[in-house]
Amino acid sequence: MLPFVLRRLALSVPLCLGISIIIFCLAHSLPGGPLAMYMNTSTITAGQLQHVSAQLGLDRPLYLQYLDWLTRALHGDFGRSFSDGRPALAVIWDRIPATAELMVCAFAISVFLAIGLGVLSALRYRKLADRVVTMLSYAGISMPVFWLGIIAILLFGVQLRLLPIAGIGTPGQPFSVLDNLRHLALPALVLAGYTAAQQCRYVRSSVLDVLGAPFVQTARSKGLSERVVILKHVLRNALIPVVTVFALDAAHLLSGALITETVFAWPGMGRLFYDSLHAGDYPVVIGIALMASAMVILFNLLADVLYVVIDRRVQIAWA
Amino acid sequence: MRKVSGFLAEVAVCLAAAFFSVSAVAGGASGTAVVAIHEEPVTLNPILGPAMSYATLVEQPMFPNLFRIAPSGDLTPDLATVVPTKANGGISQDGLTYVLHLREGVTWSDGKPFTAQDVLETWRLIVDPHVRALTTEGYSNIAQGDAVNAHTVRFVLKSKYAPFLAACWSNAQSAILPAHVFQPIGAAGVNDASYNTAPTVTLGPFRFVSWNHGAAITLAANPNYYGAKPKLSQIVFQVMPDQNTILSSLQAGSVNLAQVGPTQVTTLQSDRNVQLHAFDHTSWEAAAMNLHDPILADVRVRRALEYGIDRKAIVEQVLRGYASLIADAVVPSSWAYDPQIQPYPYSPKTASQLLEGAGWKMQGGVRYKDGKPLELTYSTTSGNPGREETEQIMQQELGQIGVRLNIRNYPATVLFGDILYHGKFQLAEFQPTGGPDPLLRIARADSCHAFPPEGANYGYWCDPRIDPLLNENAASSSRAQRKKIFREIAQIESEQMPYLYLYSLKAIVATSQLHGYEPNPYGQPAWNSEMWSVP
Repeated sequence: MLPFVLRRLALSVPLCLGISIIIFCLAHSLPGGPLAMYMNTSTITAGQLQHVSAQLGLDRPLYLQYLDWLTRALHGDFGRSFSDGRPALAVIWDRIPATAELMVCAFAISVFLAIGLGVLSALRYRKLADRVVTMLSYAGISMPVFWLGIIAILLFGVQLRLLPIAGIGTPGQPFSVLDNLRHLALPALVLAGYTAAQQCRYVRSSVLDVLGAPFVQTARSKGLSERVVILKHVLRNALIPVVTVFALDAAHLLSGALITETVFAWPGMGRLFYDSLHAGDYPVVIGIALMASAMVILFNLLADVLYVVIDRRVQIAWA
Repeated sequence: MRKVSGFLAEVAVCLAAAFFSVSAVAGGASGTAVVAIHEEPVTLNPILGPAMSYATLVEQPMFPNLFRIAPSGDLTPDLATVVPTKANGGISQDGLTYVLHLREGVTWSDGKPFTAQDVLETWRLIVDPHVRALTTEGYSNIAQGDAVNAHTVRFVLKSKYAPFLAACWSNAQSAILPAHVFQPIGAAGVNDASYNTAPTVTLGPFRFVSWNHGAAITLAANPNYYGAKPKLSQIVFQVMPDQNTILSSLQAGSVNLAQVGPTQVTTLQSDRNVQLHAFDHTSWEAAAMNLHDPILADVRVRRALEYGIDRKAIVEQVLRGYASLIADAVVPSSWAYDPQIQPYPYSPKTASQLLEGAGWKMQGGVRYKDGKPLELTYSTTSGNPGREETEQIMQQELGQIGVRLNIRNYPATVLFGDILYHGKFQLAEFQPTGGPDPLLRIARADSCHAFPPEGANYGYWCDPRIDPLLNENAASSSRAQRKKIFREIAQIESEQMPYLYLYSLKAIVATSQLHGYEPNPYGQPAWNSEMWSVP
């Protein structure tokens, strides 16, 4: 197992390098660019603009800018944010806890809901519970996250006034866990609702597949209790294909988080990415894009590893 | 067993009650006002660019200047003790020397005294080429500055400049920095100084506490403040990128103040907890017309376009009446405004006559000249529903007089950073921000010396009459005289139509459970933050 993981990790190095070249070129080919916000200042003169351009190192050929960036990045320095002059990594680092909190909670809620409702739906195949869950999950899939977010805000924040609707804590109050959780509730539920709806479908069909398998009939005919049949035989086998989907979804939560973070004014990385892209703040954009790519690579690896852990029949081919 | 489950149920109910406690939803902590900001500032150093109105909004409670512009547009002393005039000897008879008397006994929030050196250091930094200054306008016209004594500054100008005090030393434009903090840093270190994101030494009614990037900027009352004691204990500027969330937060009472747009007013009007304040502002909406374009180089075509658009209907339908029509670049909120110069009426007939006169003949619904159709491309910032709706109305109305209008919009950074700046447009609509003095904007937009990259005359309009008038205006010290010159400029603008003058949008500020807010066309909403209070 360890050599497999190491090999995959080693392979991801050239992959990340390639990604960094693509992202670097893409970022620099965007119209506008980091000088745009200075040109927007109607009082700026050509001389000042040239000065800013030289200060930010934008007046050199692109390949030199890339090589320079790469050398520094390998030393852990992703450059300074063009916007506020702080180190890009520090800017990103600031936002990771909020995004991590939101994503982990949303993922946990989503997995819990998806497995619970998916299994229920499959066991009550074509009964009322199945139909209700199916309807809910289709509604969840077809509802855009921002719309679900606005509805949640209007219902829980404005009408019922049960939960705060924006930010990560009550403004002006010292941090408290309860206050933070109250602020987390709506964005986490909305983000989870979206992914849970999709995952629930996977779980349902996977469980249905396994329920019809001969070994389940064998288990039942051996006189095992229904509980043991479901938990030990059905669920374990049904979850194998689902794990891959879940692990990949975890990486994709980041894109859902972008919208959720905007609607709920959650100070996370998704929003930082959007703002930086808008401002042409390349060092930050490249940093986040690389981080997101690394996450996708890692979660892919995790999915493969989990596969082996859950299903002993799967062997890793070394050659 | 039953006892245990009963106990657990009780615990669950208590936890749920705490979690959903209704009282904690409304507003921030006690004595705290929450202001929603749509975008996050890049820097909190008031002398540094880029220009962002949200940065000024956050800065104003921390950074006073020598003068404050009252809602009437008049200067009132703030860190200075008196507004200098020729009559009181503060301005020399030749109009070149200004003597500014500063308040004594004022201390920075770290306890160090405020002196003439702070004013002089601020000027030196702004004009230093190392500093990415927000603007050097006016400051670069200072030939010499020195301290007469610890609380008196003397500036000698290179040439007479009427907006000097409003442009350089009023709260509308910039602010004073602490010399004892910046002298050790030096001009070369200003752009990356940690002070820019944590301005811990300031003079205003509120001082900096924290900036949680992406979330909020928190200020607390400054116990050393020289003016009226602030009534609030804290102001929190909460970053809310989504406009719908801002509206919901106002309704829920968790935000006390926010700037909103005309289309959002309907949602808030029915809410008894929300007060709406709409007032004329210094900015105006216009489309620059590129005079390097052969079609638009003809003044008759430019005038025909202005006649051919029913701007009154646009203001009523799209902007719900929250705008005033303009005829030129002097907006109705300004002291220099002359109601005698009327906006063009909507007259498709006059427009058609002008186009006929210019040789554009109608053929099957479109006008042609020398075999080429009268086809123009109109651009503005994308993602702005009000502007997009306006474009569709214009497209339809101009279509009726035989002008084919194509719409091509760009993201704001592209429009300003590339399209306008490099003259890659025919018509481009944007909102030139006003300044504390009408001369600032008009000089940037109209002067023959203000073509990009040197200024914001994006359409390359150059009328030989304008620059002498601008110079004369800058050299004049009487407001009546200056108003007369502005009228002459306005007449030339109205006759030559270098811009498609649209309207001056009203500012709309929504407050919820906030007392003491006062609208001011020349200031950001927090210009009088020391007077604010929450119940």
